[in-house]
Amino acid sequence: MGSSGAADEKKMVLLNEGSRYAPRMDGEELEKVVKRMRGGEPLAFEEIVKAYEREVFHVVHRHIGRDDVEGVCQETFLAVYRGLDSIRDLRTFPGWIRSIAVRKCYDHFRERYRRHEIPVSRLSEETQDWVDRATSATAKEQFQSEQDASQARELIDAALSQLSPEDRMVVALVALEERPVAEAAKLLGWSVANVKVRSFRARKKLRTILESLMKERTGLES
Amino acid sequence: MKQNDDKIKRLENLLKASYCAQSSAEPSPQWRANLLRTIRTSAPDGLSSEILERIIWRFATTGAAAAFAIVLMGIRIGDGASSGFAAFDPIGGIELSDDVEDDNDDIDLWDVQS
Repeated sequence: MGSSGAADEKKMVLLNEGSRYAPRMDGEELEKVVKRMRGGEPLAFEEIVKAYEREVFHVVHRHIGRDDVEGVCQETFLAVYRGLDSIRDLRTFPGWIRSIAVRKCYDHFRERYRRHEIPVSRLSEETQDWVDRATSATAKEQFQSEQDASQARELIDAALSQLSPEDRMVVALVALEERPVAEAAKLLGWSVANVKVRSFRARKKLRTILESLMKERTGLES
Repeated sequence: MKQNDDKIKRLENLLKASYCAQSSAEPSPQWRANLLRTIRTSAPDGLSSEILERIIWRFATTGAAAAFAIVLMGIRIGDGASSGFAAFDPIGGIELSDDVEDDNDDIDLWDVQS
């Protein structure tokens, strides 16, 4: 698979992102649920949870390791529950809930950053070997096994964990998921100019980090 | 140098593909039950308290204006009354004992003219 093939496949995944987590609610159904909640039936919210939980899990798991996904998803739904009254046009609900999920991931990283809980950025020997194989001229750009995927994930985590929470979110949304800048700005609640500038700088930082991770390996060998 | 750039580019493409292709975590029924339990316990603090808070804030300005008007009216009425100053009791906070009050029955403490 060439790089354009991989990119096409990724774009298809992103395009289908919204529709793959059916069943979703339309505005009318949502309005009924909200009315029931306002009428003193808070557990009507379960219907919203059932309709959107897979999508929220997917969004959150892209950014956050498996161990913390459930907690961040719970935070997301609690924020949705508390903020449901503030939403004026219920047709914007799917975008709104995705945006809350992304911001909760950002909050999670900020909290970790504040507590200086930065994971070790050194790669395991297996991942270092994998980087060598993957970057060799003859390598096929695809993941043959679960092990390949987990090593790629380790490398991404190691690289992203060296970025600030802001840079990390921007890199993930704009560089890795290849979302348009305007969409990333909307999801994060930042200005488009801010996302543009930060994205440019953060990508440069990521490149430097990847280079240093590769040099680390070269240094070990020499 | 160029070879290094190519390697980095290749690695970036791989990471992009891997990032989007990763399997998704699935919500467990246990997770949903926990979430709903949390919502149930926080329900009184949830929507109803938000509505209450909104009502309070909506009427806060009107309430403050009404309180201000009442105070103003009170001051005007106080000014208009002939006993306006007499109503002002600088030692109102001090309670005299019955004996002392009896002793001072003859003295008019407020008779300024005399």
